Formats: sequence, structure tokens, C-alpha cells
Amino acid sequence: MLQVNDLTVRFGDVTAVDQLDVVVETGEVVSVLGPSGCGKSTLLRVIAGLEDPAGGSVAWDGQEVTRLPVHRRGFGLMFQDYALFPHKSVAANVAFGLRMQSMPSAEIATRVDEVLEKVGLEGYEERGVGQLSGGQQQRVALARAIAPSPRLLMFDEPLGSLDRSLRERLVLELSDILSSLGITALYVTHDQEEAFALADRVMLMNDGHIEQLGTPEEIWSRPRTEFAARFLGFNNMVEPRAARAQGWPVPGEDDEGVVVYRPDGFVLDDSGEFEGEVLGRTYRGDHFLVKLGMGDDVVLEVVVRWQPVPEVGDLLRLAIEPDAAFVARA
Amino acid sequence: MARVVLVGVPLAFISIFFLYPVGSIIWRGLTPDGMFSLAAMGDILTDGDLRSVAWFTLWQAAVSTVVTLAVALPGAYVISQYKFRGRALLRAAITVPLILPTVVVGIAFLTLAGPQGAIGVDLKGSVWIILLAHAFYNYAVVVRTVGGMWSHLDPRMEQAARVLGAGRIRAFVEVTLPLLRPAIAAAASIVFLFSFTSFGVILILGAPRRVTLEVEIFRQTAQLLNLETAAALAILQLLGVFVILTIYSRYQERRSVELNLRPVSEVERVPATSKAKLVIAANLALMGALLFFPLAVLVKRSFTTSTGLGLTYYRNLVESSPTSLPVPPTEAIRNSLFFAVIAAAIALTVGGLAAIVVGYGKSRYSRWFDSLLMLPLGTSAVTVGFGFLISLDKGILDLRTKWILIPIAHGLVAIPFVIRVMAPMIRSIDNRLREAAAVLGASPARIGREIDLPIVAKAMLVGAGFAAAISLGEFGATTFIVRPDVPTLPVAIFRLIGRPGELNFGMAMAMAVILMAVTGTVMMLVERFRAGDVGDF
Repeated sequence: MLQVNDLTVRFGDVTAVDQLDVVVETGEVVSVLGPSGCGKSTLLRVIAGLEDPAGGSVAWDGQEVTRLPVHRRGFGLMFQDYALFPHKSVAANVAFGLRMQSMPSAEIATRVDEVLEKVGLEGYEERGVGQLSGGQQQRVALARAIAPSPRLLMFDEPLGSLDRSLRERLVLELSDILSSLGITALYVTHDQEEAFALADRVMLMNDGHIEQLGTPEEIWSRPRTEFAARFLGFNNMVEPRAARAQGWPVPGEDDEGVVVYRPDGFVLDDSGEFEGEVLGRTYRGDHFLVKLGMGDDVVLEVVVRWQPVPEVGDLLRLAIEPDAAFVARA
Repeated sequence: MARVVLVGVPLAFISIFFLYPVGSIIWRGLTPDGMFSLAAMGDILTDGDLRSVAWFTLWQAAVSTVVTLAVALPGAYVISQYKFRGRALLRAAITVPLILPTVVVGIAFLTLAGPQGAIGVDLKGSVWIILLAHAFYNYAVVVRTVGGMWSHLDPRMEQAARVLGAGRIRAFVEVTLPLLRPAIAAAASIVFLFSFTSFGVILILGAPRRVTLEVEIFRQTAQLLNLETAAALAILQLLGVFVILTIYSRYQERRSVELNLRPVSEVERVPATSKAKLVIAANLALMGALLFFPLAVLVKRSFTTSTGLGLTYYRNLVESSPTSLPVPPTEAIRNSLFFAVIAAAIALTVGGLAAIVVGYGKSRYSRWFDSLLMLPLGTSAVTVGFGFLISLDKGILDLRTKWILIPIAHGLVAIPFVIRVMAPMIRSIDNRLREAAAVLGASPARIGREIDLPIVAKAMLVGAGFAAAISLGEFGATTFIVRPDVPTLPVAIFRLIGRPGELNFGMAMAMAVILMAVTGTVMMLVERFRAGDVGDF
């Protein structure tokens, strides 16, 4: 169990991580999601021991490791762009951590074979890492990280530099490998699909603090803050007072925060509360995204899966499903 | 036609003033009595004294290399990895010894650790002072070569090793050191080569007890008039240089590891721990003691007479009071500046033309041409001077007594530097700039004028500065061909050192300080014209 307590990291005048608390249960995979510069990679590097915190502590199963040098923590870290050793073969890269544990060489050979088989790289043992494709390098990096059986495995944007289709495939593979290992993992990414696909829980970070922590479903269905909603791609935000003035449904009685209308929650309804003019539409593969002008410069995005698709200039009258409107804190 | 000039002029120059003289040495050494014979070579190998000279040359070069690496690698680490105030200035300052004339280095260490030296121990004639001077001279070679690579080495390599359980030292030995090995090998080869062919430093600090092949060639020629033995020694020395360069280039070819080099901004960091600050402070102290203290002592002593601080030594240079030089010292300064201008013009003409061929060319021939023109860099200055002496004595090439021979020799030594400075700058012109200009409507001639010319012109200025600085300090080749009544600054300094009396030594120090100031000024001007890191030096 990883326990991060009141952790603060500063670089000069910049506070990268601000009094952060989080607990990761043993065997749990937690994604750390957030925009670049939110402090997620710094958090990872402090837990690994590569960066010193200005305050707070990191502990494993109640035992503090904050002052323990990086090589004695027994944690694994897979770097962005992998940081494979270019002067060593695939097998030597994977064997490195095992050699640091002074494992007998016969056991090392067995373990290297086992791990390379797990990531689907049998037969590549003697290759130089420079001869491998991006996806293969990513597998070597994974093999190198899991070979010493770290008690905590951390990933720093491990798929960031790969193209989209390869990334989607590797996320599934990675998910399988993580669950088959039953390992405790922290997975840093700025890609929400990656985060949701892999994690038991998602930790959304902003500006050095946790914005929201919960299961992927919780976060996706109820982003609690305006930042969270915006980061997940929800743009239909209206102040409660303005929404009431328009006669739109507002959950609760408060005037605090913003009302978010999910774009996929709208339905055609002749007696609906939303009436607007189609300003434009974009084809999105399995749906159209329609921009609806509501007057007073308010524009709502609507996911349209029905036929016929509205044309620019059409007037639409819509209702929203009860679940699709919620209030987020400012 | 243009191509004939571009290739022809450098080719003719290098053939007449390098290949022919060096060929003459080899011919002379292998045909001692007009017929092919290995007798002269055999003689030097069986002569106990000469054999010990060869052995000393070899081992002092090896030890100098090890000592230099030992003191300079930590410096390379500190300068390449940490950001601290004054680092840019420091980086420029540690390069000063590298561009100093060897005569200045020699006299600086004499004032430091010679008879009546500042540290109170007379090390003249011992190997210690030689090692010290070589470390002083070559410190920047290691810092620039190894530090240059280190500052781009992905810091996550070492971090990855640390996360996988390697301690600080283990991570360095297993990951960083192997990745730096090509740069360390390159630096070591250069230091070894410089120490192997060291002349001025040894002549002033080591002779007569501790001498290298270079000094022995000079002694056999100038003092014993034994040209056959000198030629045989020169062949031995050329073989040594050839072996070093072959090993070096083999090693360079074999390294095939593709490094993921990072921008400097991702590598360097602010020293955060007190341990890091201590390491930086220790290295600064070492640099101060090794690199700046000897020069400070030299400057201070040049202003110190028996009656306290004063300009006596400098005044004597101008007033040409009774010195044992055949000409007044001011004449030597004038000669040196005059030769420097001519040498720069020669090096710029020959080297500039060649740089255009090398810089714009992509073919195998241009690389071959490049290698040919680099040869004088690997060959010692003494070999060049000695070669001039024994070959340029017939017909229209009877130049031995002409002053022009001196700037020609200096120019020859400077040509590789001019090419190494200019060709990369020319090569660095982004072709998209030319394409952009063309799309905007510039004709090919206009593109040449607007895009290429400004950059090439700047490169020429830098090359000329380098050549002038080299000429000002050149000593090895000059000693062979200089006429007693037209001495250069380094030659005049050396002669003064050899004369007894406090005044003579004082004037030598004063002249060395002047030479240092002039060379330093030229190099500062060069640095101002250089764009960033472009160029190999």
C-alpha cells in the first residue's frame, strides 16, 4: 500500500505538487491524469526518489521511504521515451535490475526469458535496442521494469510517443499484463482514454493538487469540478442563474458553480426547453456534433445520432435526459 | 575552372610544403648513404640513449594522458551537468591555456616550479613539471570533448539504472561511462598525441635531462648537425603518430551505438544539495590552482623586480638596453605581428578554398580531400620545420634563407584549423534558407550573395583569427627555419630564458605576458564572431 502524505514539491518559486494526499491499495492500478504541467510526472519522480520533496512523506505499508535513496526503494519506473540503455542488448537491458539484486546468472537468464515471453519479444534477446521499432522498444522498457518484480510499478506517459492505432493496441496488452501480474501501479498520462482503459481508479490532477479521485465511471459520469468537466471535453457550461432564466433544467437550488449539459444527453422533443438555431455541424464518424446558437451568444454542443441530420439554419427544439444535466463546482 | 582553382591551389600547396618535405625526411632517413638501407633506423634503435628518449616520449605521453583525464573528467562533469553563476565565463577561461603559445606555458611553469619558483620546489628537469604542464595545457581538451557530449547525454539513462536498483557509482560505471567512452577515447587520443609530440614545454622544462623525440630531433639537427639520425628519429615519430591516429579512427568507426541526445536544457540542473555544491567548489579550486595560478604568478613576477613592483622589465624591452639579443625585443614583436598577418592570409587562401570544397562537397573525394588537408594537424611542428630545412633548398624552392618560409610554415600548421572552423559553418547553412529565398524570388546568384556570403564571410574572419593566433605562438617549426636576425616573439623569449641573469629572465617573462595578451585578444575577437557551437574547435 502506497501512502503519500501532505506531499509538497517546489522548483524555485514554482510549487509543482501542493500538499497532496493519496493512498494506493496493494494490487490497485491508479491512473494519474491531467494536462501537461499539472505536476503528475513530478509526483511520480518524487515517489520514485528521483526528486526530493519540500515537505510531506512517501510511505509503503506504513514504512516511510522519503529519505531512502532511489535504488533502495524497490519501485519500478517506466520512462517516457523508455530511456533504454543504447549500449546494451535487449536481454542485457532486461537483466539490469536483476543483476543489481545480485541474482545468480542462471536465474537471471530464466527470468529474462520469462519476462520477454510475457511481453511477446521471444527471440529478440541479442538485438540492439536501436534496431527495434517504437512498439518493440516500449515492450523492452516494460520487460525491464517488471523483471525485478517491483512492489510498485510506475509509468510516465509510456505510450506518449506512439501513433494512435499502436497506442490503442498496446493499452489493451498493458491492461492484460498488469492484471495478470496483480501488481500495484501508478500510471501517468494526459490521455483520458488510456487512463480509463487501464485504471481501477483515476486521479485527476490540476495545478499540483487532486481535482477528483474515483473510478473511471464516477469521474466520467459526474465530473465534480468545472476543470474536471472541461478536461473531459464537456463544453456546455452555463451559470445556474442564466440557465433558470432560459427555463432550462437546473439540478438543485444553488446558484454556485456551473450547470453542465452533456452533449450526448439531448433528444428531439417538440415540448423541450432548449430551442436554438443550427450554426454548424462536424462529422465525427459515428455521430455529428452540432453547434446550436441559443441567443445571447450562448452556444451548446449537441451529439446528433438521429436522422435526418439537421442542416445549418434549421431551428431545433430539444429536451435533455434527467441524468445528463449536473452541477460542477467552480 | 573555378573547381580547378578550388581544388588545385590547396593540393599544390600541401604537396610542395607538406608532402614533399615529409617525403624528403623519409627518403633521407631510409637512404643514409644514397642507397636504401635501414642502417640509420637500426642505429637509433640500438643506441641506448636514443632508445631511452623514445621510451620516455612514450611513457610520459601515456602518464600525461592519465593525469589529464583524472583531473579534467570531474571538471567536465561539473561544467556539463550543473548550472551556476559564472559558468559561461569559466568555460571560456579554461580554454585559455589551450591557445597559449607553448613558450608561455613553459615560462609560466618555470616561474611556478623552476629555480626560485613560487612554490619553492625546483622541479625543472623532472617529469613532474612536464606532467603538470601537459595537464595544464590539455585540461580544456578533455572538458570540451567529453563535457560537450556529457551535456547532451539523457539524464534519464542514469535515473533508469538508479530506479532499477543501481547505486550512484554503479549507475555511473554501468551506464554513463560506456556512453561517454567515444568522447573519452577521442579526448585521450588528442591529449596523448599532443603530449607525444610536445616540444616547447619539454625544451624549456625538461631539457637536457628529460627530452622527447621532438626535442631530440631538434638537438640532432641544430646542435649535432646529424641530419641522418634526426631523419630516422622523425620517421620513428611519424610512425608513432600514425599508429595513434589509426587506433583513434578505428575506434571512432566501431562505435555504432545510437544515442538519444537531448537538448542541454534537459540535462543541466541547479546544484541543490550541499554535496553537489562541494563537488563544484572542489573543482573550481582545482581549476584555479592548475590553470590560473601559474599564469597569475607569471604576470605578477613580470612586474616584480628586486626593488619591488615596477615596469623595469617592460621598460627594458623598449629601451633596448644591453641585451644579448641580436635585435631589439620590439623588433621580435613587430616580426611576429607581421608574420601572423601573412600566415593568416596564406592559411585563409589555402584553407578557405579547401573549406569551400569540403563544406559544400558531399562526395567521397571531398572527404578524401579533407583527410589529406588534415595531415599537418597530426604531424608535429618539428617535423614540418625539419622537413623544410632539408627539402626546400634547391632551385626555385631554395627558400631556406627567405623570411617567407616562416609564415608558410605557420600557415601550413593553421590550415587544418581554418578548415575545421569554416567547413562546419558552411555546412550548417540550412538548405531551407536557400529554398525559402528562391521561393521568395531570389536568383541563384542573389541567394549566394544574401544567404551564403554573410555566413562564409564570418567563417573566414574566425578562420583568420585562429590562424593569426597559431602563428603568434608557433615555436616548433619556427626554431628550425628562423634567421637569427629576424626572431619571432616565442623564439626571442626562448633565447632570453637560455641566457643567465635576472634581467634576461625578467624580460622573457614580460615578453611572455605581452604574447599572452596579444594571443588572448585575437582569440577573444574570434569568439565574438563565432555563432554558437558551430565549428569543431
